[in-house]
Amino acid sequence: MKKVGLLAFFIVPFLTFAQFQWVDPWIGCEGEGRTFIGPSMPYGMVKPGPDCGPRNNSGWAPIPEPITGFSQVHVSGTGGGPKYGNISILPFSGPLDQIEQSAFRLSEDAQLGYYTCEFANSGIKTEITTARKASFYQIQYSFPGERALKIDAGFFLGEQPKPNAREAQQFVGSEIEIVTPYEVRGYSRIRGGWNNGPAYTVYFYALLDQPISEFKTWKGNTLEDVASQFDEGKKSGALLSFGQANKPLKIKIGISYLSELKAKANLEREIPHWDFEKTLNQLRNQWDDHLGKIEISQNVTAKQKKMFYTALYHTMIMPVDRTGENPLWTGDLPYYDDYYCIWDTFRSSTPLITLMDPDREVEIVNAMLNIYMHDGYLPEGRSGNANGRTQGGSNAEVVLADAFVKKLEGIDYELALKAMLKDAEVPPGGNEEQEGRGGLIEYRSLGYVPYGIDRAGNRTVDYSYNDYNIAVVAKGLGKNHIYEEYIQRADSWQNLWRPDYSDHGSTGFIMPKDASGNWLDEVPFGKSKVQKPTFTYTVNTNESPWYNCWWCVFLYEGTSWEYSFSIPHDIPAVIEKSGGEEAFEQRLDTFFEEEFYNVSNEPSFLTPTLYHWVGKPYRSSDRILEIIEQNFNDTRLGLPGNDDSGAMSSWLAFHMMGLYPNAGQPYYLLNTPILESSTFHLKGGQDFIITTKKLSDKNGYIQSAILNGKPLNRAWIYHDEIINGGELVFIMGSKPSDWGTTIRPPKKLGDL
Amino acid sequence: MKLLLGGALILLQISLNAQQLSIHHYEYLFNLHGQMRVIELDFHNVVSEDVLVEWKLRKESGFYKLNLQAARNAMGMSFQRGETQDTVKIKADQTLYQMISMNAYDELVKQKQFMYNKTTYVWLGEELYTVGEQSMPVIHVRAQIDDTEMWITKSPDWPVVVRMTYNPLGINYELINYH
Repeated sequence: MKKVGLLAFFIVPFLTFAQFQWVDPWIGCEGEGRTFIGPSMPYGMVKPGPDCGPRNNSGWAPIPEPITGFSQVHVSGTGGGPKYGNISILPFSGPLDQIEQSAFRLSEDAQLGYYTCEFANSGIKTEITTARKASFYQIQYSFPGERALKIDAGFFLGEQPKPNAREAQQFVGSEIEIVTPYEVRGYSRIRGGWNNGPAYTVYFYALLDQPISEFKTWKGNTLEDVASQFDEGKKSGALLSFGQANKPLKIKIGISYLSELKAKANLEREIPHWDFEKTLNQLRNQWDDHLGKIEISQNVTAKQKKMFYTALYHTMIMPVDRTGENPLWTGDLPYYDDYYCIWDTFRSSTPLITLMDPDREVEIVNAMLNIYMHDGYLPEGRSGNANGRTQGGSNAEVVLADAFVKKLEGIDYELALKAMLKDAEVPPGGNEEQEGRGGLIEYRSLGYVPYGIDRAGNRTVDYSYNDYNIAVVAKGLGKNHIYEEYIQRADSWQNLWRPDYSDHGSTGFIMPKDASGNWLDEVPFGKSKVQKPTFTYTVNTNESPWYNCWWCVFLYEGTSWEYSFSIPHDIPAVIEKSGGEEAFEQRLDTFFEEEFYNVSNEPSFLTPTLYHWVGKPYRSSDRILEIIEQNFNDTRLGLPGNDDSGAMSSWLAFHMMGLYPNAGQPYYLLNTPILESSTFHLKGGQDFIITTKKLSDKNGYIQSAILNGKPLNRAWIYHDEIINGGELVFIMGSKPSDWGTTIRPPKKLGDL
Repeated sequence: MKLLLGGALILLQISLNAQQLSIHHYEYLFNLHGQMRVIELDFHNVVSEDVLVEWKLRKESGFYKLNLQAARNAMGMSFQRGETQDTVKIKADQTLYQMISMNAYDELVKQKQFMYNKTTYVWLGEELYTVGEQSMPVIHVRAQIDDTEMWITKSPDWPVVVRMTYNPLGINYELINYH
């Protein structure tokens, strides 16, 4: 049983068994969620799991798709072109006479830290668990029968026949060597993938508990009787036989991004035994430590427990901790990779990790600053040891500002400000999609990114918020000249606010403008020297994929309706520009009722809470509960969009507790919780408890709130008020009340 | 006109007098700025000289309305995207993006080149275009400027573009199925 706060003990009974049992890796794995179902340690570098061909982002696809192998590195919840899927193994039964050995599944199961499946024809049962940098397989073959194993150093996800296809991973090289009858080592070198990154290399060292009795290796498509295949730009692998025995085969695979010997060392350090259960239990103990930082009332449904703890789980499997595995530079600082993508995760994943595990967030931030020091820019969409992708703003600024306003210790904020200013002041040059701020020169000279530069609209909106983040940190560090400049730049979004544009009764929208200052209704498209076709731009236009490429649009993965709300630092200004509070409330209603709201993507994460700014927090709660009820559940289709490294899941987890952060700012909006109570076990040893009285299906409205014994009349709470420990009690009732209606959320910095 | 292909009688045409389409369903694989999408086009029967063309893209669908006079006389294609659950009317001097007008086809056959979308397309030769197990004769053309290439069925009454590449508008496609 996890530590329970003394106060909580007298209020509600808490969980009496491990939280990991409530994690269901199947939630969100099908449909758009794309969550990874295999085992992973918290922020674990190695994520072994099944691959059903090269197409699926998480590797896995439902039965009856055949399994092509179990590879050691995956990501979770991502869209776009797949990444990783390196060092694939596959048990089979029979002679070593063909490379293709795909198998259909008869059954499969996944639990936290554990995956198993049984193949239909051969009856082979595979079990998988993992440590941080080494995976562990246990394979039971049918007896009698030849026990065989394929190790494929050439496989990877996202392979496409077209060379250099955008976002497709591309083969660079591989190598394999049967070192002894018990040891196989090699590497896979792949480039590209979603972030269009340069080549990365995954080294492996596989240790078997039984000797290889026969083998063949391959390079290209040719099987040979040689023990090694050196790298000459062709896919390579090995087929191994272990003879017949009624005994499971165990395989441990160490992984490294540095070398095969480092992969071996990782394996020897992390799994120096052959006890599969021990490794699994160690993993589950690790997860219990992490998940146990928030305990919830037992008096919730099993479905709610599964949704909540699985959401926490998804939040904590990325980014990945690759400390000691940096192939680019040396040093003792933490190294994290697979920021996939900060545009997705800054809004809710980062604040949740900060709240649950501030030391971890300090590591992540310091790793980002270390990347800035060596690569020149902060990461945005980083994977495979390479910055390589931006989607909107330089959103690392939000992460750094969030750490600053929440007073995380152990971060060099002077360095952080320098890194932020690099983004804001130095054009990345060349590939503006890779890092920094594309369109920066125009943004700084015109005050907006003009149409014609990729993602001009959301870059302008996001840069405005990022400039606000800079202003916040600068002011806190006493650098007033920087503050004065950037608090002005934080208003840049207003330069794309078209005040006279109306739609569905709402007026004023973020709309495209050319470099000469003209609003664009008819927008030219294509690159023809002869034709000059146009399309009509409206507030619900999605140019992609027809008129523009996916990453060339005015607003990335969103519409003007959505992005016109996406001004997290100055909602009062949006209200004013929308015609006042009444008009803004109507605008919100239209947004939801006309289904302009897109639950499946991040730009609208904050929008359901915006009723707080018009003094109607109960309406925010209504929207949030309706969204969850209609779009989230505990099934394989339980996430409405890409989980994006836990972004979607962390949005859910916060709202189930009745909190939601405005990332980069030191407060959380308060809403009707779904959970009867939640207890944060905080870093200093104290607890913060959110609990409810009279919460039921009928009593869904907060009547009053009590913070540490005193009335709390605002529908938001400062971060400090949480981390100092204490208790927040919501008294619930069946009708909306005037609680939280008079004190609006904090204004932006410059107005305070 | 009927087009005899590989022993099977395949109709890639419209019988204008009867105002009845003999091919109803086309499936194109579009390459839209690198994004692959299958778009289905269903041609409904003619009403008052208008052909209603239903498009389907994943879960979305809508209509284009194409006037038969445009099918006869148009001077260019419309590359307007369909609007979900709405009808987009193609301009009177334009065909939909998957065909050229009969006049343009006649010009191509006679002059070995034709003007469309203010672009001159030059005859490169005759080829066979294969869909599934069936092949059809097509005329291969290339734009003098922009280098767009098209493969147009040899069917003067309903000249269908079965493949387009190097379209500077980023909208390329190939026919993958029909019936």
